[in-house]
Amino acid sequence: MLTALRSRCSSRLLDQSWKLGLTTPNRIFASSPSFSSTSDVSDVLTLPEVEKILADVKADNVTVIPTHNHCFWADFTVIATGRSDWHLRNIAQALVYRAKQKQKGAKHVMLPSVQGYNSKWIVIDYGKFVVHALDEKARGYFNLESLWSAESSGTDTSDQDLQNAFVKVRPKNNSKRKPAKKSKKTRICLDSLPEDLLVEISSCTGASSLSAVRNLRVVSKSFRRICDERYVFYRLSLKEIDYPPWHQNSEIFFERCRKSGNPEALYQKGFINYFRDDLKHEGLEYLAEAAEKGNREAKYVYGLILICLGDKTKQKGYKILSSVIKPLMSTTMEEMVELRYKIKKIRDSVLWPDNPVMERLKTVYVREKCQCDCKTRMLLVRNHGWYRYGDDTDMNISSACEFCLLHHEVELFLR
Amino acid sequence: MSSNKIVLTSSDGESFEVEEVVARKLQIVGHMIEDDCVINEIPLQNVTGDILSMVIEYCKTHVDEEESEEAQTKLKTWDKEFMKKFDLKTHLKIILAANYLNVKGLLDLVSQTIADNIKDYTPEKIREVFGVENDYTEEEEAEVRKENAWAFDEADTPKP
Repeated sequence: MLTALRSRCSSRLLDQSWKLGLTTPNRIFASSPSFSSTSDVSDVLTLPEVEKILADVKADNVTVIPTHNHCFWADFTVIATGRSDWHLRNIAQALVYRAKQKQKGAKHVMLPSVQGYNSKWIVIDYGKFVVHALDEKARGYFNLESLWSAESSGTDTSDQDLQNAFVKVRPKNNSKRKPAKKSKKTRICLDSLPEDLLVEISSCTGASSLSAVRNLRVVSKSFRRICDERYVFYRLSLKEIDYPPWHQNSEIFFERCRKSGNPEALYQKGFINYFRDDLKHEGLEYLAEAAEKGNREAKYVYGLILICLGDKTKQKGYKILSSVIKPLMSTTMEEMVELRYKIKKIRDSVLWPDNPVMERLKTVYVREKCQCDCKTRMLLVRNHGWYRYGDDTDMNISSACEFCLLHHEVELFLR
Repeated sequence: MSSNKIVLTSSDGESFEVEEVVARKLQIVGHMIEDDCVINEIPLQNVTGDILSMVIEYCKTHVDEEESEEAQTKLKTWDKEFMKKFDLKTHLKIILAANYLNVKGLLDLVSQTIADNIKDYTPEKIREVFGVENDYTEEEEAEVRKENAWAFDEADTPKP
């Protein structure tokens, strides 16, 4: 039975080793068993000592399996998980180092043989016992425990053991750090995606639909954690949800969005601060930040305010406003109309008529003089609504007078 | 641009000869070229031939990114059609490959495609499709749903 197990196992290892980047596929059996020698390195370092070392270097999920009944090359098999290649090497180094240290000054120094030093599966062979240090994935994949702890009878159950080699293990984590983010629980199809890709996907989902993120959060604990990542909040689309919130708890959510730098949330807060709450300084700061991040509405409103305030900020305002509306008007008016609609929506929903801040802006606004022909003005007169420039536009917007166009936007907003 | 040819070899031994400009679209290769690590063949250990061929097809199409709006729309349509050809499993393989080979455009495209796919799924459906285990207890799940209610939408509160 043992030989069957061995050959089966090594052929499997040969088959799969490329997946894990193992260099010596059948290392487990290559390590020279020194059971015949009278004294070996396992006399130098005892099993409890090895266990202590493993605990010291914070190896995860250490398992000791008595294997004297199962195989002839080792009495005990110790299996430990390392969290990274570096950690795995560290485990091996610690085990060798302690053996060396204990024999300081001795004539013949005996050291355990180490195989697979730069791989995801390092074997440290002490003779009477063998330590396998694997990374989490390799450990889950090969599931060595099932080989040794199988209730072996005369019949060939090893085949089934190997079949079971894909059983998920719940890792026990010895490090102070949070549990490895990628738990076995979020296996996606064949390969589990790295967490940063899941964050990327979740943020894409959130950028188009908030309710989709809501669904994702319910899927599992790890998805909830992923959805609560800053980056997901940053990209979250807030168009499904009204601001200011009707439910006071929602304010916490909006605050979290703002803290994550969500441009839409910053814009909404800025708008309300500036116009409704008369917190001009704070409001402008929020609007500026959102505009900086590329939020169109914020750019539009921030630009308009700067234009109205006049003096030094006027030119900056023109620049910002025209950077938004020009590209929007280059092909069709649709996008421009949509933008105006969004602005009007928030204006009408949070501001009373004759809002004092709005009134003040009206009085301070001075129209820039320009020497353009009347064509642009005519165009604007014909298309004075919020939502349209009209499809019958007989002149190209790009040839229109920019000052007149910008003035038109200001007038629409202040109206 | 030079018309140097570079051979990319997949993990299962399939080789692809591509123009250097195309290969450079894979940033991992681009860096190798800049560091003069390239002789003429580059083994890509984490990608299989079928996936690599898709990545190369994407890179070939996107090799000269034109600024003009017309070209952009054309590319976008191509992207959509390209993604439609594959199922979710393949999407997941492509995203892993795009991540490893560092092809930014493709990574964004696949992420968006997968995101669009799962957008309309219920939590139950997502668990089923992705093979995700529900590790919430009943109370915990109810808690998250409650949390969602006020943090993520206002279904519980009457709209004015």
